[in-house]
Amino acid sequence: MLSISLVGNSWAHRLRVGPKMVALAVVSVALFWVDAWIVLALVLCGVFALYTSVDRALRKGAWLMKPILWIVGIIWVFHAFRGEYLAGSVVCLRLLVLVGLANFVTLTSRLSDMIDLFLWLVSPLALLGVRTGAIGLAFGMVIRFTPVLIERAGQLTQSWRARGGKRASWRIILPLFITVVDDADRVAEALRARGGIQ
Amino acid sequence: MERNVVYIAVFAALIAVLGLLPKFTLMSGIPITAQSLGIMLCGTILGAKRGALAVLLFLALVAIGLPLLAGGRGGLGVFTTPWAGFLFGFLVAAFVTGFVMERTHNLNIGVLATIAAIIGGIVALYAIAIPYYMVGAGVGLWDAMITMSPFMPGDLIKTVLAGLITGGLYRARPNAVLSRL
Repeated sequence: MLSISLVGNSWAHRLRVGPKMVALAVVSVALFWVDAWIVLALVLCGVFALYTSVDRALRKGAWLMKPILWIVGIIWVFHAFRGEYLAGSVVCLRLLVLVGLANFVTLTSRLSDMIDLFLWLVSPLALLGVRTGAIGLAFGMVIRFTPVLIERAGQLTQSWRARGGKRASWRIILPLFITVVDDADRVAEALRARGGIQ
Repeated sequence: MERNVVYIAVFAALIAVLGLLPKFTLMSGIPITAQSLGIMLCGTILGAKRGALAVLLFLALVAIGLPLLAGGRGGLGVFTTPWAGFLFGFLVAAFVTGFVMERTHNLNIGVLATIAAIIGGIVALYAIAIPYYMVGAGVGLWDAMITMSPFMPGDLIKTVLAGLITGGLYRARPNAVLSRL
């Protein structure tokens, strides 16, 4: 299964994930107190510069931004409708900066580093009696299961068409769920047979 | 224990897979995906706690950069838009849906699942998503409701599907509907 992040070795990739996330959080929170459109526009230019400094980031970043542009457009139109041109522009600029920065961190961080960071963040839960080993296992299972289930949904769609149905749509969901819970029962049995979840 | 963890994991995967099913287009011309149907089914089938944990797992994987949201999106950026209220609302939606399922016993399971999905997957979900959007986008209640109204007919259809699928699964594999155990 492919992650969204870019494979590469740019300056942004070499930074550690923890500090990058802290920086993202600090900047994101700070931006909520910035109401001057000129400052936000400058920051947006800065974000753009970040993207241009990393190979291939601009293209992938633009693809990730596409649905956001719709959202931004709708929000601006609603503001413009009430004559709040400036307020609308500030909200939209801030949104573009926030999403752009967050996506930049995702694009330049390896999935394995993100998983490590996440597991480190939840590790204190062990003190509360949560079995944190199960969390890492569940991550792995979702990553492994998703492509398998996508393929199975594809097979069910084809079987439906082969039997004369035009579009399978929602009718393959129930058979998909039945096969998946059967698989889940077998996986749970196999886990128990191998000593269970610690 | 093992069974709960595996069910939570496969349902998190199912939410992702439902988001990738071909979209069906409503008469209003708005494409809808089955991703929020997956959220409802987590509640109706797994129950409150496990359903919410499956959604939490799904959201955690989206946040660390897996392209699991409908349309192959993901990453940290999706949590910083005004629409992210839906993502946080998904958690509450699955929990409330499951809670209604677990607390009601004297109804046909398909009908109950539809009612639970309406309460959790629509009422609770929009109770979070609309205020979140109002704050994030800086608009009023009316504007927010107009912006979201194209999705509501699709959501109603999905609650009926959630009822049909939960009822069907209960007939085929009664032990798999953990909310009824």
